[in-house]
Amino acid sequence: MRVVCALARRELGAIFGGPTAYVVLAGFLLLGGWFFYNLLAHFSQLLSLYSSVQMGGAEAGLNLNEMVIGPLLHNLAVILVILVPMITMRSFAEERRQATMELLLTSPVGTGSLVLGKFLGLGAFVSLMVALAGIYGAVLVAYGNPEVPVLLAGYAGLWLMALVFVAIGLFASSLTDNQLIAAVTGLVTMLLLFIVAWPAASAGEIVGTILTHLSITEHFDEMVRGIVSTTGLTYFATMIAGWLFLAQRSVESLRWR
Amino acid sequence: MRSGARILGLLGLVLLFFGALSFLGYGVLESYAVVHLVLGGAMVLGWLIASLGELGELVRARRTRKGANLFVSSLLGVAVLVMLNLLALRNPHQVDLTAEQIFSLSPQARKILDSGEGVIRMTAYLEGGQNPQVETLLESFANGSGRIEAEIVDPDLAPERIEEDGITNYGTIRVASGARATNVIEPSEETLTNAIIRVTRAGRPRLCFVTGDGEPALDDNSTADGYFEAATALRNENFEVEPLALLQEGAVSPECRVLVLAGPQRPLSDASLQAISEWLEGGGSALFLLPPRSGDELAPLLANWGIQIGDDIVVDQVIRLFEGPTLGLNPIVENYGAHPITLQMRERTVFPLTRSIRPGPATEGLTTSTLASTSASSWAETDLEAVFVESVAEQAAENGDEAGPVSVAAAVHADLDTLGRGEGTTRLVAFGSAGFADNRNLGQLWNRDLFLNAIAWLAAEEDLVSIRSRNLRVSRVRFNEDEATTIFYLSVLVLPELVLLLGLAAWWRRSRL
Repeated sequence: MRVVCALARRELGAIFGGPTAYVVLAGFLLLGGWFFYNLLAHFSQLLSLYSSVQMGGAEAGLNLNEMVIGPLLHNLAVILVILVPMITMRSFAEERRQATMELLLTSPVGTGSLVLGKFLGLGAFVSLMVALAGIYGAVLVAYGNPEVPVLLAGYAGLWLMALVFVAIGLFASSLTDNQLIAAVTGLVTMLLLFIVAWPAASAGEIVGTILTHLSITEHFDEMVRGIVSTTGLTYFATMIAGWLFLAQRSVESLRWR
Repeated sequence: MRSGARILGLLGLVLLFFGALSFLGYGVLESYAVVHLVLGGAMVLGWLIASLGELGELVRARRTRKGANLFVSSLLGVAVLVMLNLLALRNPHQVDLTAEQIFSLSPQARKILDSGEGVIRMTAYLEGGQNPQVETLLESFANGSGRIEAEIVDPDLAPERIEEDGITNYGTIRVASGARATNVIEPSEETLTNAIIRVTRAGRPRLCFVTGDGEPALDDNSTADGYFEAATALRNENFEVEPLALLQEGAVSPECRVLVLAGPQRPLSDASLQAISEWLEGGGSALFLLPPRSGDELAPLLANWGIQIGDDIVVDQVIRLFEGPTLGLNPIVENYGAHPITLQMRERTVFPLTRSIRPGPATEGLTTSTLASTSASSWAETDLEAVFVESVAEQAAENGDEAGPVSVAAAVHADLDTLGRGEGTTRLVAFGSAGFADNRNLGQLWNRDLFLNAIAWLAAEEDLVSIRSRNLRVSRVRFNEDEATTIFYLSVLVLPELVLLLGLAAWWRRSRL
């Protein structure tokens, strides 16, 4: 475990050692803030409009979670699809390019620990991103009355989704020594998970169910709406475990390839 | 040669991949897929043949063994994860964190589902196979009880199923249990729970349609005036629909839940009138659909029960169905009374060839209500000769023509004890039109809903539940201009700025080391 933590610290240090982390964080917060402010302003306008014309029935449809938090979290998820590959692309690809990979593979550190250590380091970084984005929720709690449990479930969904993206990014990075290819492979895979359920409605019962279950947006959307289900949690856990497992297999294969 | 064979093999794999993708995407083997699969397969085969000599070495190589082990162990690992997901799918549990528990079943619905046995199938016919609200509702039922099997069908892709299940609107959910089924056009937790009650309870309420005096036939689906569509709609609501030759039978069978008299063409005999009167006094419910010049002999009987039928025909030359003659004998109704039958009615209905039907004077023991009224531009024309013979309709107050709005449907709830006519209660509904529910008009506007609501109320389905619909909690947010500025700076500018400054500080520190 100590080895894993050391590797995680090393990975985190490497991320914050360069400009990437700060640029990615700043970009994420800038975009997120802009989305949040506009959604909140629009909501506030609607509230004023309905109150002023006394459209009592229409006011009943105004809910902060549905009209501000939900769209915000979905937008942040899309930003993560673009930014996470930028962070993960160098994790193994750079090691291979700089020939430090041979050193790691010949050291007493197992490939499982190696992958886990990098995952924890990168996971800590994306957790920081999601935690800082929590400021938007805090603003709403301070000035409004959102449903806090639903808000927390939404952020938890975003965090789990980010961890899945990190695992995918790690796997993509383990396949190549070219960072660009690693980034694009990761991006395409994440996007595929976004859109895999599109043909589900016309695909027949069994195939449709499989496609729907494979879709990361289905499970994320469930949590944003306030439903925490064993199906969703199992999906996220197995996705993270699955991609990390494949990353470990891929790194292991470097020993004899 | 070796690299040539390798390129060939790789090209073949690319062609095979896209050929397979095409087949998966279209579901059929069309020319693109065939060409790609055949060419790709041939190229891969060519590469294998060209590499035959190397293949033996390759198979024995340590790398190959390791690679095969890797592939198999990866597959096994993925299979375990897939099994875990399957287990989770088969045993779903969820926590609804919304304040109003809008994604969970209400305790009433849960009780209904838990108290019975057997599978209940819910099939949602959704346009394009999607409707987030209906899907959420279906999910809450499916997750709330292991008895529910939910399915979503795109009606445009399954026309034979629409025909088989009698589906007429997108968004309909068909609820079935065993051989019984009913269609819910406006799905909500309440309507679906009540549909479950209907399809799972023993026995179906019987509706007895009087025949023998020229009433429209229940099996007549070839003429516009027939009542085949009405009978079908009622059977879809899990009612038994039977004709009743009242004159031959002499009395209304106690197995009937509701007696229906629709547009008799000939006057009813005294014996039939007596049978109807006895039925009502025995606590039976009845629906009367009496167009002008039909069933006038029922006027005294109905007056005794708080319903006045007018000797007139309602004309509306402004708010009317645009089809048909401009005489205005198809008035459209937009005004409904505050009665359980019409409480949810928001849409319009059409009452072709209708007379006025009014609640009588207030009497102790009789609770009467207007159900539907025509518009202010209508009137009740008393000169029926002019309308039917000369095709002329002109409002003339001096002739007793009453200006609109004109009541064209009424309901009565009678307390027999208070009236001194027996024990229990009786329910009556009268419509001034029989064409309102015939083959041509039942599907017009919202006639079907009004007709089915009336029957449901008359059948007094007391075991049905009333479930308050739940919505997301209303939110508020309050901030003044200064606070809005603070929010803007904090959420949009300050945080990203701090992060970049931190980055600069870290870079400066490193450059000094």
